[in-house]
Amino acid sequence: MIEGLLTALGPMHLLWLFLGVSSGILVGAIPGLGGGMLMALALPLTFSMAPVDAILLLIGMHVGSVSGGLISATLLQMPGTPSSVMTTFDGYPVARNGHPERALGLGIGSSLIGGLLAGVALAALAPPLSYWALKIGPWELSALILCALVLVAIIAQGSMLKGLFSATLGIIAALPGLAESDGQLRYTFGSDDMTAGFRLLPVLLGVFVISQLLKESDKALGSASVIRLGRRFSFPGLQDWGSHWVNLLRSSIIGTFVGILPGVGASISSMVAYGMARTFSKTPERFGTGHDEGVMASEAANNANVGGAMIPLITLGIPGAPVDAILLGAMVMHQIQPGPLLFTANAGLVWAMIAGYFIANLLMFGLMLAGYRSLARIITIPAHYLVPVVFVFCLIGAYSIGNRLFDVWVMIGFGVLGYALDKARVPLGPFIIGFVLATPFESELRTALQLSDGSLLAIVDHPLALAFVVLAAVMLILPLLRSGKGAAAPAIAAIEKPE
Amino acid sequence: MRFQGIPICTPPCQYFTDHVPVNGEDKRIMKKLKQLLLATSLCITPFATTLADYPDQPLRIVVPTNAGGSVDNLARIFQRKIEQMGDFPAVVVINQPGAGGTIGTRAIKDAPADGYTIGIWSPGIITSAAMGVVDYDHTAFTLLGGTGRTEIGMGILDASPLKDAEAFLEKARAEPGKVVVATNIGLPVHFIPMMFADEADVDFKFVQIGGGAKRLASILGGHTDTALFSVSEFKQYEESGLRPLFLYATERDDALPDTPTARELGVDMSISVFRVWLAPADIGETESARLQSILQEVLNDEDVQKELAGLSIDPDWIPAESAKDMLDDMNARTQPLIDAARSAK
Repeated sequence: MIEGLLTALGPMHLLWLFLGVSSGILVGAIPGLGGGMLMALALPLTFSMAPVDAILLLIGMHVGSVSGGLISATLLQMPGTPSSVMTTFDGYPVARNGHPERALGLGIGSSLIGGLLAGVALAALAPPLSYWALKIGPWELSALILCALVLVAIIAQGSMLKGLFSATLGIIAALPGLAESDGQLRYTFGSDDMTAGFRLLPVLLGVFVISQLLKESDKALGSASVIRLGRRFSFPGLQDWGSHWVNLLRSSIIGTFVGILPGVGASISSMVAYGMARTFSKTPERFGTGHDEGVMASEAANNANVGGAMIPLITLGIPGAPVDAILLGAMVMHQIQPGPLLFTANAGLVWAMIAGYFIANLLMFGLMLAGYRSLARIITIPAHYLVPVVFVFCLIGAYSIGNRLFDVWVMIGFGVLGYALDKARVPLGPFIIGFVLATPFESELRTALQLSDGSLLAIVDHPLALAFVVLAAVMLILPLLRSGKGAAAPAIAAIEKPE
Repeated sequence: MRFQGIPICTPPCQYFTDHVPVNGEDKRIMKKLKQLLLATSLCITPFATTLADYPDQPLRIVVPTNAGGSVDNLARIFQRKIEQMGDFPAVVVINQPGAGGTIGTRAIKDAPADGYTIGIWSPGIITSAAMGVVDYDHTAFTLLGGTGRTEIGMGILDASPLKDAEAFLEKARAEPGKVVVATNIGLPVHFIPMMFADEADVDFKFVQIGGGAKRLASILGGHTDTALFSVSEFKQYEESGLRPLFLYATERDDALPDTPTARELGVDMSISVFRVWLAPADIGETESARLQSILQEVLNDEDVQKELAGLSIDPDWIPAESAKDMLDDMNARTQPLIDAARSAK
């Protein structure tokens, strides 16, 4: 282990790691560009590098990009990467209220804590955790996703009808294309391009970024209100972290755990963590209005997800997330076979990877801390500079995920839809949650039903799945019970109120 | 006298100024463009041919999956070597994932047939047509050849009480519909075990699990019983707890000498899979021949052979005719299973 740490600390290795983290933060912060794209671009370069350097570079990029996403999510309400969607809900209001530095500080600190806690799991518990995670089957997965899905109802409180409408639209948008459960096409309307459905990145960019660009362009140039920066240095103090340790720990555990499960992405982990944080919070009503706890849950979970996803990669050779498939590809090309043998056959490399992961998180923290005061000024950039630049990056991002123009049109189409929904005061959060969760929920549930010959009752044989369903029910009902009549009144008022 | 060239030239020229064709995706423009080039070469410069210059533009290799997978890795080995060889000024890999690889295969099919766009894919080209996801199969392309032929077979959790292939087959016969096969519905990992079940007269339960990583996790977690893997995957995941039961090979594989073939079990079925190199159907013979010789030359390189050996990939080139025969055979065996395959819930 010491040897691995020393390896990762070698000046050349550290340089690659630094390069990875800094480029990762940069692409993460730019809406449209992301870690997956950066790593895919870097993959051919890594073939000619030393194995340790190649892997450290990619790990650095992954850690950096997931963290960088919080910058634009917090300051511009545009998630820089899909995993920082939930950060926009509370990070942006904090920034908007005149505390962009505090908002960034909360995100950066939570990212570090989530990243390091997942690192502890990676270093100390990787083999048992990965074997335990294998026991999570389709029943458990679909029930887990259900926990995230009830978030829709939680977030939509206040204007339940509009929230559910938004979520329904999101689910509808997830339906077209090749349904993997039966291998058949559906709702493609005869279009060849539609056979792959609408992909996450163009839809997300459309709904959250393009719609906002439209909104900004809508305002008369120059009249946009400029946010004043707080005069005080306001990085959250120890007290802030100490009073939220339960939330941070819980969100990190959720992030790590969801990361280990193959095929469930970082955006789902922050959705589950956010929902849990709200359910168990003393002040659930403040979520979505600029609450520290919301930022912490989302950012701790998505960074923990990176470490969690490395656990099955190292121990079993199973990538926990799509970007880890790129890491696996790089390892295989260097003839390194991840799996149980890696710990004995190539222990030095394993510990260098784990140490590299820790250092990447510290580097990320250092880099973001060094720059966050100047980064916070992004929020003061006038829209007429920001809009064209962000738009170009979105075009590049949407095109590059599949090298086809169709995705660009999808992005623009969903941008117009998001703009229209926003005008009608329909919340966009439930839309993206419905869109992200519909596909994995459907496929896992259908797989479970294929296994049980169509019987939903078979869930009783899966106690953990049953526990998740109960948890989902608690998350749904508890907020209603707690606020009693208070919650129902504004909901009705919102429906009746003419907009 | 009216100059004949002008009426032909004018409309296509407008396309240049008004609409810039993007990546040759607009076939109509390309067609006009070709007519224009043809007209130009016929009328104005009758002696210059574009063929003499081939190849003088970058080569695009379309990979119908995300970066990092086994097809992508293989394509990138070729990319680097072809670039080194210097025939093409540049070689780029273009990942076009989606809809079971059909987004990518359609992009190859519809690309300009100028010898600058090729692609690599699997026998999924047959099964996607069988499932009705696309209306074309391998016959809609010019097949350049194949690489990476590998034997495949069924794997099981090493800790499973089923000691060997005989015990497995016995259980499958004794309990119809109880042995659960993890698959990706509608792809070769679904159809090939179906062919076996048909031949062995057993009844498997096919369940949608997803890609290779998810199928492996599902077997290791005990949620499903068996799935299709390649020999290199068996070697790769040996220590993770995956055990080969039998191979669909004609004879035992050198890498897994203890694993029997389906034939040894009394089931007369053999099939192997490979990666097929595709080009658009209308590609010229000169370009096709040149590409075939370049791809073949890559495999003659010592470094490439070493690299392939390290990845347990067979370094032999499969000539275009053999590749076509293998895909035709796959197609013939897939057709009778279509109704059953499409009945997944």
